[in-house]
This record gives sequence, C-alpha cells and structure tokens, in this order.
Amino acid sequence: MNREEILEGLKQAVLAYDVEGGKGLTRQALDSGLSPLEAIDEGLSKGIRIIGDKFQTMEIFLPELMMAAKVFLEAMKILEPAILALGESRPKRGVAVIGTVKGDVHSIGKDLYGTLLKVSGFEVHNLGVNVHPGKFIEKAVETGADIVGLSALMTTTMPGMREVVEFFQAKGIRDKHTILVGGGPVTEPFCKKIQADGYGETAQDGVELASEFVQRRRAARP
Amino acid sequence: MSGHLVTIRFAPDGQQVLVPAGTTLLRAAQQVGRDIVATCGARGRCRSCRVKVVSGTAPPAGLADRIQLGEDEVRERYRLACQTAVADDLTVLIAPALEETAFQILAGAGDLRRATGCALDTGVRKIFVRPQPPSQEDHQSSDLEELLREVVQPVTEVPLQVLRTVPSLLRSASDGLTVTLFDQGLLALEPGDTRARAFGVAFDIGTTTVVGYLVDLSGGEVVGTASSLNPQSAFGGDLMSRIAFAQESPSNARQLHARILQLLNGQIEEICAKAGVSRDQVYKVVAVGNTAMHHLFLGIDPTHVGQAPYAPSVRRSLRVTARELGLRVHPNAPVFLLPLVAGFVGADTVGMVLSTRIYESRGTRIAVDIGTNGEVVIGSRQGLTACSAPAGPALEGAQIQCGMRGAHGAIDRVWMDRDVAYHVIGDGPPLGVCGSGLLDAIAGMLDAGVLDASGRLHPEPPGRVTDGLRRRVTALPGGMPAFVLAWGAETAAGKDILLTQADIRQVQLAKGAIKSGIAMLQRLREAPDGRIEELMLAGGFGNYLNIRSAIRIGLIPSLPQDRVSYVGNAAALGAQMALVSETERRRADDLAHQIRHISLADHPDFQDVFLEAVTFPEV
Ligand code: B12
Ligand code: FES
Repeated sequence: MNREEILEGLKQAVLAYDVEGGKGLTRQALDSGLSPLEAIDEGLSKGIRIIGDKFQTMEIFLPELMMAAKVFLEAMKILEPAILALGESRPKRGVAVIGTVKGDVHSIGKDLYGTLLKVSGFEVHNLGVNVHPGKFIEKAVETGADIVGLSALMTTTMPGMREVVEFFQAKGIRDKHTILVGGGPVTEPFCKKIQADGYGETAQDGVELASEFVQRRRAARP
Repeated sequence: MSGHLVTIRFAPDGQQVLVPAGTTLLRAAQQVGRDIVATCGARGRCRSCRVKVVSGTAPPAGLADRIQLGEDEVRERYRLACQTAVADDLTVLIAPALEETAFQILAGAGDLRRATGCALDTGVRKIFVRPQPPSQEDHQSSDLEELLREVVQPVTEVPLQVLRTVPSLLRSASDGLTVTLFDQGLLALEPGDTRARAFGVAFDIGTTTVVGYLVDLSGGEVVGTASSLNPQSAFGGDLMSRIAFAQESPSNARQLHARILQLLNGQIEEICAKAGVSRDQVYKVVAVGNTAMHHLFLGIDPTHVGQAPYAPSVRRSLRVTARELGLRVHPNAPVFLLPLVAGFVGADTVGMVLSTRIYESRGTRIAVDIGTNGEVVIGSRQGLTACSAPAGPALEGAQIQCGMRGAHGAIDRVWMDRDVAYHVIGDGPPLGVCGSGLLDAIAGMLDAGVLDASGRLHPEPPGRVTDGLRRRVTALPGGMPAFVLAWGAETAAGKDILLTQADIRQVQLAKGAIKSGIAMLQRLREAPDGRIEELMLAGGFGNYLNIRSAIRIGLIPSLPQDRVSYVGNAAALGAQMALVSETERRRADDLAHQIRHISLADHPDFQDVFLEAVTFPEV
C-alpha cells in the first residue's frame, strides 16, 4: 500500500466504524514510515470531519458517531507513543473544560461533545455531571482553559448556566474564558440572555464555534 | 416600549383585556383565563401556542416565529403567543383552542370489584339510629353521649362542625339520624335514613389529563366519570416546565395549585350532578399522580424535584381533610394520597403496582407506563424494582413536525405494503399524526426497507422498495429526507403530512429511553426476555399502540405477542381500588416501602445500554 492508500484507508475505517481495520492500518502507517501526525490530519481526521457533517444533517445518529469516534480514539492509542518517541507533539487546538451544570445528571450529549473536541485536537477536562459553578472556575483557572462548555438537558437546570456566567463575572475573569452553552432545551436567545459567548445546537457546531473562538483569541493576542 | 396600555381582543367572542404594551399575548390570555397550551413552557420551542392575528397590525415576527411556524404561516399572520409582545391594539384567534380537542382518554366505568377482585371495605360506615335527647337531669349525660350510645361502635373523634349540629338534629329528627363513620371518627350526621347513599371519588391527576371517578361505596360501582385536560398545561405541557414555572416564584406555584384544585372541584360538581348525588355524600377521596402533580395538588413547592437529587418533599401516604384542602365534597371527608417511591416514580406508579398485582406474581413481570416521564416496574412476589424512563414528548406527537396528540384528526394507524393506508381518529381528513400512528409508520418503513436499522431514511431507497412507497420519499427545502404519510390532497390543511429524518431521530431517543429502562431492570434482576412472563402496557399512550409495531421498532423487548398485554389506565384503577378497599389502600403503603428505586444515571453501563436501544432491531 502506498501513502495515499493508507491515508484513504484510515479515513474509510472511520467511515465504516471499523475499529480493528483502523488499528491495523495505523500500524501499517507507522511501519511504512508515515508521520503519525500525517496519519491523523490526512487520514483519521478527514473521516471524522465527514462523520461530523453526517451527524449534523442527521444522516447518522448517536451510536454511529460514537463508533466512529472509537475508531479514532483506538488509533490514537497507537499513534500517541509514536508521536512522543519522535519528540513531536500534536499541536493543541486549545484547552476546554466541560461539564453538566448543577442539578442535572444528563451526560451523553456532553460526553459526546467532549469526544468530538478531543478528536479535533482539544485538550479536554471533563468535570462530569451536577457540577457546581465554583468547580468550573477552579478548573478553568488551573488549566488556563480557552473554552468552558456548559451542558444542561432540563428546563429546571438551565438557570444554573446563568449562575456559572455570573460566577466568572464576579471573579473578574469573565473575559479570560469563552463560555459556550448547549444541550436539548438550550436556545440561541437563551444564550444571549445569560450573556454566554456562544450556543452550539449540536456537538459539531460546538466544536466549530470553539475553534473559531480560539483562533480569534489567538489573533487578538499581541 | 412599555408605558401605554393596549387592548387585546380574542376572537370569536371578542373578550377583551387591557395590558401594558410589551406584555406577551400568552400572558394577556392567561390574565382573562383564556387557555393557550404552552407545551414547551413559553420558550419558543414548540408551536402549540400559535395564534392568528385577525385584525390590527401583526407584531413583527421573531426568530422563533420563523423557525417554528415557517415563512408561510408568518405571512398568514400566525405568531407564537409566548414570544409575541404587543405594541398596539389587536384581535387574535387562538389556533387550536384548548376546549376543542377531544382526547382519547381511558375512563371506563363499570364494576370495579369484578375487574379487580378486591373486597369491599371502604372504611366508610353508615349507621342508622333513633337517639333521644337526655331526659333526666340527674343522669349526668349529654346530647353526644346519647347519640353515641345508639351508635354502639367506638367513636373517638368528633369534629367541631359535626358537634355544632348535634343539639338541633337530635331534637328535630323524628325519622331518626344516619351517622357516618370513617375509622373511629364521626364524619357526618344526617337526618333520616341515608344508609344507601355513600359515595367516594378517585382522581388520577395526570400531567396532561385529569380523570375523576365517582364510585358508589355501597356497591363498589363506578357511577360517573369526568375527564379534562390538566389546566396547568397553559404553563407548560410537560411536568418539567411546570416545575420550572413554579421555581420562578411562589405565586406561580400557588397559581398551579389553584388551577388544579379548581378543576377537581369542577369535576366533582359535574359527576355528582350527572349522577344525582349530593357532594355532601361523598365521604372519601383517593388521589394518585406523579410527584410533581401530587405536590402541586397539595400546594407543596415542587422546585426541588426538578434538581438533582430530585427528592420529593414527602413520600409517605397522606391523609388530609377535604376542608383543609378546599375540596368541595363533605368537608370532613378524608382525602388520601397514595405514597411515592421517588421524585420520578410517583403515586401513579404505586397505583399501577396495586392494580396490576405484580407484587404477587410467581414469575417475573414488567409493567411500563409509556410517557413523557415514563416508569418501569419489574418483579414478582420476590420483590419489585422500578426506574423512571424519560421518553420525552415525541410519542405524544410533540417535537414531531406533523405530530399531534391522539385527538380528532390524528392518523392513529398506518399500514404499508405496496403503498400506505391509514386510519384517522374521527374518520375525517387527517390533521397530523399521533404516537401510535408514528410507531406503525416507522415499523412499516423498517419492514419495507425505506428505513434502515440505524434509523436512516435513504433519499434513494433500495431496490426492493415498491414504487408506491418510493415516490413518497422526498426532501425538505434544506435537503433533509422525509416520507409522505398523507398527500396534501387528502389532508385537512392541503399540505403533505410528513415524517422527517429529524422526527425519526426523536422517536429513536424516546424509544431508546423506554427500552433501555426496561433492559437495565431486566439486567439487574437477571431476567432475560425468556424469563419474562408478561409485559403490561399501562397509561394513555400504552393502550393505543400496536404491540407488533412496538416490538418491531424496539420500544419494548421482543417477546411473543401473547406475553404482552394492555392493562388500561392502571394508575387510576389503583386509586379506585384504594377507594373501595382499605386493605388495598394500606397495601399501597407497604408496597411503596418494598419497591427498590434505581437511578439509571448512576449506572456505569447505562450509556451503552441506551445507545444500543436507540437503534432499531434487525429482523
Ligand atoms: C437519555 C435520557 C436520560 C438518561 C441520562 C443518561 C445519561 N447518562 O446522560 C437517564 C435515564 C438517566 C435520564 C434521567 C432523567 N431524565 Co432524562 N432524558 C434522556 C433523553 C431520553 C435523551 C437525552 C439525550 O441523551 N439525548 C441525546 C444527546 C446526544 O443530546 P443532547 O444532550 O441534547 O446533546 C447534543 C447537543 O445538545 C449538543 N450538546 C450537549 N451539551 C452541549 C454543551 C455544549 C457546550 C455544546 C456546544 C453542545 C452540547 O451535543 C449533542 C450532540 O449534538 C431525554 C428525552 C429525549 N427524547 O430527548 C430525557 C430528558 C432530557 N430527561 C428528562 C428528565 C426530566 C429526566 C429526569 C430528571 C426525570 C425523569 N423523568 O426520569 C431523570 C433524572 C432522575 C434520575 N434519577 O435519573 C427530561 C427533561 C425535561 C426538561 N425539559 O426539563 C427529558 C427531555 C425527557 C422529558 N421528560 O421530557 N434521562
Ligand atoms: S412556542 Fe410558545 S409555548 Fe412553545
């Protein structure tokens, strides 16, 4: 197999949800001297991008998205040591802290968002569910997070998102982090009302938003 | 923009209300008691609150109006009442008026005891006596003592109200007196022999519908029923939006309480009048409902039920008097609320357990109430386990593009072979599709190959799909695939009734929640499908769905069809049983203690089980 075939194969493995095939091709890529970063950017990530779009248009659904992500993450387990061994590192898109707000125990959408962020090159700190506003601040400060992603699936816990925004304000660090909101009942107007920075209707939207904000931040920096 | 007042008129009768500019149409309607259903809790996420501006300048449409209603309806001057603030005088027509929808409600009447096999021990006893007032001063007696002497039974409690009537009744009633007791309490005192007339009322307070049953306590028959839409719907269709509304301010919670009380009193009046029964001869009331409805009925703030750890304020069964609660039956009548198991496994579930008698089953049985906030109970006489299974409103037709409740005009049955055939409730032209129709349609599409097991609606269906079905596959303006259930020429609005890819995804989440709840409990009880003796479908939706379709789409496990049964409105039946039988009512207390509640969110395996349940079964 030549370079093109391997990269195409990696992309196809993601699209076919083929974990074993993906692992095999990843090893083959390394054996044939392909750069691990190239295998990611020109192979696996291309597949994930297509998957993300298909999820967006609802052509595929949660289980397929999860399976595709699994192909990616399993391949990463093989690639990461190789990247380290080469003394390289995968350029980090940014740092994200995510969690489901206080009072809410729904995790599926939030975890999915975390996975997609990770796959797109973000360093992700997942705080879990029923997270107190103070926890978000603590972790955001500790990790210097670019993005703080809040998830809520219930009408009754949405006010908890406003609380987080207010906590960041009160601490005087509101402009240091981009706060994104998402989850079933959340809407764009609600995001505006609580003065969060952005709303992602789907996890894929959220990843694009996060990337945009990070770029803007970087550009704004002297 | 506020400052001046504007007049809003409601067509067709022209009722008016004066409100400050800037008020939403929904609030204006609420102020004069015009009910507009706000399914999503006034957040601009559904279309239930739409109104048509029939005269005056239509306020500018917002983003939510355009998204929910589409450009066509916006141009036809439809607006979302919850999103539209008024600036000038207007006349509006409320689109689907609350009263006009005739729901399919389970409210059968008949002989309760034959249906349930429970004994008649209502706890209400009527005793006819002919007491004499005290006659001799040296006897050291009193009116009450003379009365109770005749009653013979021990009486330990006499409410002041009854006491006040004793002196005159004792002396004026030449035809004797009838004493009504509950337990050892004196409930009522009536002139004459009224032993044959003793009634009770059972209520099933659902989030969507409220059903009241008048029961003759002397024979145990249901002699009247009333059912209505829960008037709290004006503040949100699902219970979470009611909790959210209550959470905003204490006066909101009071409003919700007042609304339900008013409705229950209306039902009491209606059923009593129809049956020719005096409200004062209703001596016992039993109510069931989910935790939020239970709390709101009692006037307890349900806010905390809406936040993890979702704890109810009280779980044990309660006894209050009708007077305390403001329920207009006999003021001393005890009102019982069956106990709760957890925040989202309420008294309605206890009612279901009581009436299905799942607690005395030898083999393992499952009872499911399929709904926005569904519940699953599994077990046998070896013990019971329960969880909540929050399907969301898709199966009730909400959040489905052409979805509607199981009311007049809804497609409720669908058949597919070479082409589509359907049945419409009321037999007129279809308005939309309800949950049971949705299930049939999806089952048919899976069988026909229009839909694959992952839930994808193929824009180019595979070769085996018939031409009749193939031409029904179309695309929405944005490119999303959709399936035409009914052509515009056949429908009431002249527009196609469609099932979109997004609708199918919603149904997948909903059925995934139910199926994964069942699957988790089966796992915890080590009861694979082969060991399930029976699966019972309860509640409004469960009783209308087609069992074959439910199995085909994987809403319920794939059991032989003869092991799946409909059990009617099991929660309401449980309430009626507790009404006619004190044994059953006390049993409910024991049961509530025995049911083990599982919080699915805390189970590490749950996510995988859920994702598996989201896909459709392969044949
Ligand atoms: C699965 C589920 C559960 C599971 C959760 C498991 C878990 N670990 O997460 C379980 C069964 C535990 C559960 C429990 C409860 N649930 Co629940 N649940 C659901 C269900 C069926 C699906 C939710 C879901 O996962 N969707 C799929 C995910 C992928 O979608 P999503 O989260 O919206 O995420 C997407 C986007 O929004 C985005 N996203 C998400 N977060 C973020 C964040 C950011 C920053 C960005 C950019 C994007 C983003 O990315 C995702 C992919 O695109 C819905 C009903 C439905 N049909 O939708 C009810 C639902 C959410 N649950 C509800 C409720 C009320 C509950 C309970 C509180 C009560 C109950 N009735 O049982 C309990 C909790 C009590 C308890 N003890 O468990 C309600 C909420 C109603 C409301 N409007 O307030 C719903 C809507 C059902 C209903 N009753 O109508 N639930
Ligand atoms: S859009 Fe107004 S109540 Fe849902």
